[in-house]
Amino acid sequence: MNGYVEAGYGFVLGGLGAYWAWLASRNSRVKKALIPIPVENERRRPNSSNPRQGER
Amino acid sequence: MKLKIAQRYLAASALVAIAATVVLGLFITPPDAVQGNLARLVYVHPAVAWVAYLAYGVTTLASSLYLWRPTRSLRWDRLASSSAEVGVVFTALTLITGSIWGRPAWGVWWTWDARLTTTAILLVLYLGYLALRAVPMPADKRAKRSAIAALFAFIDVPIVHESVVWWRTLHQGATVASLGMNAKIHGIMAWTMLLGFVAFTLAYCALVVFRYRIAQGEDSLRERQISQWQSERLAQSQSDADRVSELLDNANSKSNVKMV
Repeated sequence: MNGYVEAGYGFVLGGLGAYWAWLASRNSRVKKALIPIPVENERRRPNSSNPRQGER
Repeated sequence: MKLKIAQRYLAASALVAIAATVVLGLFITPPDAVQGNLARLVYVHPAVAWVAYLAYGVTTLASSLYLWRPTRSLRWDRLASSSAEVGVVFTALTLITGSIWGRPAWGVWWTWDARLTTTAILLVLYLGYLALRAVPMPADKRAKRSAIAALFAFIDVPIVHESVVWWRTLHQGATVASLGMNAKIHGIMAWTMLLGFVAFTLAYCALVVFRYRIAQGEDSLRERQISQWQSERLAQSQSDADRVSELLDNANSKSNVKMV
């Protein structure tokens, strides 16, 4: 072909793939932040370096 | 959970449909009589542009439903923002593929043609909408302001579509989907084009569902942070009050001793 066609298809596929990957990384960050840490653990180990509930 | 399952099915079917479009578009369909192989861009460029229109249409509908009191819900706001963000991606891809097509066909990467200019304005308008959403403010205020902005931004969509009719442009007018439906296109080319429209619409649906789920998570995270902050403030004020009462008690007991 002539290079322009391949570039056009490449940009569309690459653009959508990159956006999907960006959404996936954002989703994993949100998921990680939403995992609740049981309160009992915090009570048992008050000086532990584990994050408190809601902290990252 | 239902959304996650829907997202999986949509993403899988979009992937299959896009793969089929690429194979048909690049290897199976014949080259065009006038433009040769360059015409193969017809299987992606109009489809991507259509999805941008669709995305902004959904944003406008969801924004209207948010603004209308009986249906007011943050769910519509989430849908509007998710669709707008996906729409921005598809508008950028429309401009890029159009530019790539324009270079060999017109001899320039970019020209201030009516269709191109109005599409660029469309992209800027919805980038502005997303920027407005990024301003920190209460959720209901943000939803209301951005819904009004979305309604204003949508005015450009029919202008983009009709620009090739209203002004003399380099960009060709509607050929396949013209009112007369006098489509002069080879059978397999027409079917591949239609498949492209279906494939990118499915990709849009999958992306919107994914973005909507993230918005849901972000909203619950924000709520949790607010309630945590409130409980911290409450605990702080309670300990301050305890300390003040302790100091007062101490002062009272000292004055009692003096009196005795």
